[in-house]
Amino acid sequence: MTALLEVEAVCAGYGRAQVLHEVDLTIEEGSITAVLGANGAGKTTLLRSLSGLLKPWRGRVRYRGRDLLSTPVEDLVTIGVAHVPEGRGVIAELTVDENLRLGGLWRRGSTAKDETATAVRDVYALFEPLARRRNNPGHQLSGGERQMLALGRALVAKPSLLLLDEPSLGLAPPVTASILALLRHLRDETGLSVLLVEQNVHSALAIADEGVVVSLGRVVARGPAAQLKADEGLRHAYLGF
Amino acid sequence: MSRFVFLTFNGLSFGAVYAAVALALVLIWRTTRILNFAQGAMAMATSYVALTVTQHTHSYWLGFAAALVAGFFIGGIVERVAFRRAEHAPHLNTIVIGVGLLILMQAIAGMLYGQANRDFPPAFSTTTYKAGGTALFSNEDIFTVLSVLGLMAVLGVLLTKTPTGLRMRASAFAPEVARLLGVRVARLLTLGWALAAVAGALAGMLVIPTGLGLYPGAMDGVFVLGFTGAVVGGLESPVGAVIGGVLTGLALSYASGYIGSDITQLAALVLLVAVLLVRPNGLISRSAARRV
Repeated sequence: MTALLEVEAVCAGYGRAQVLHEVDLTIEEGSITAVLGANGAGKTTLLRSLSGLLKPWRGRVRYRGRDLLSTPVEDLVTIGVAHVPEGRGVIAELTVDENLRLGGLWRRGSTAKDETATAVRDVYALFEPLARRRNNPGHQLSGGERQMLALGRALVAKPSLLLLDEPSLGLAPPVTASILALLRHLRDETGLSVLLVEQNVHSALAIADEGVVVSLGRVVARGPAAQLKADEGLRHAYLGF
Repeated sequence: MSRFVFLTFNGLSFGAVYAAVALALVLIWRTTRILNFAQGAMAMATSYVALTVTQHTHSYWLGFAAALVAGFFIGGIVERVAFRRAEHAPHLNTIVIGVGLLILMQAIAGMLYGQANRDFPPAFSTTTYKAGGTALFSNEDIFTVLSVLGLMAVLGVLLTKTPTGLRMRASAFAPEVARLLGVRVARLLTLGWALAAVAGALAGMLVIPTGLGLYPGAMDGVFVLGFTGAVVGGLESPVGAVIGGVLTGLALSYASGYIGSDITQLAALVLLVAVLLVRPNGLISRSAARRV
């Protein structure tokens, strides 16, 4: 495997409050990496720092060898990085179809419209409830449908790396399970790499290849998901089970 | 009855102008949460551009087109230069910037053109058609209403049927998400300001020839009534802005016709208070507007 994303000594925060302290991380091509930790550990801040929504104070982030921190947020999607933010980011005022088409508007050229139309059709095939509600505005969707829409919109861009923040938030366990299973399916079928921030440790480690445990803005453990799950001391100290 | 019909047509004509101003204010408010108090002054400036072009070319329509083009550029420049850095600042900061810009533009217009009220020719005849002795409307009234309807149609198609419109709406509703999807939010905000200024420029070109005349403070009163229309409509919805603008025009026309011209400003205030008492967020409030 080769490194898709390399994070070195990233420090970030809000105002004068430092949240991330020298965070190191590597994401391999075609892998799912779960970032685990309690509320306030810095998981969401880490994702926001990687996508540039929050400018890190220092450190290096390289995506396929390219300096991600000097890449404008608007260009991330064009190089294959999609970020589904906390709260899903479904635009409630736009219809399902408009939300999905928005995911492909970064494309340029004569084939852009067709490529996006095909990608949107693929998403409808993947998430049938969305196809039935394509003309409904986002605010009329259930929590599960919103998560499908957020994920589907990211997939319309055909990313290589998906930064996914708390997909299980507010969802019933069966819905969460189906969405996480889908991530695994996408990894297997398309080679999609996923950096998954998740509080539901059991579900996340069940589908992840690697795990990173964050506490108070520091990486306190990392390794294969199965190994983290088996480490009783770690589970008690940081993962709460 | 004939008086009512005349006042209705008169109200619709002026209401269309207020609707254009309201539309300009709403287009900016819903994307940046800024109330552009310089909107009227910007329309005044574009009307002076039209006057200059018309005087040099002897073509009303070249002047008309110049006003709209000037509005587009002035709107974009004002956003980039005056408001860009203050878009996330407290409301008071942007109000001060808007009022400062208003004073600056009026001062510059006064230095360049003087304070005298200049006649500006209408595009069409202002002689009213009559039916059975009842005055109805003039060709200029028809032009005014059709122009604003045309503007609404163009903006409606742009916002709802084109990729640029989709990007603009995404930028307005969820700028951070839009950026993650590759949308150049800052550019689209500039475009929104430019389009809003075109709407304001159109309002100026429609109302100044109706006897108002052109002088540095010509659009002040029109701005206040357009603002009334925007608040009545709900500030969030372009459709609400148009409805609010037309209602303001009708209310003022009826008040002026049945009670007296001195009462018109008070009528606008009464309309504003009455609507806000019943619907504090305006006729088409935020939640309703987002379901359209």
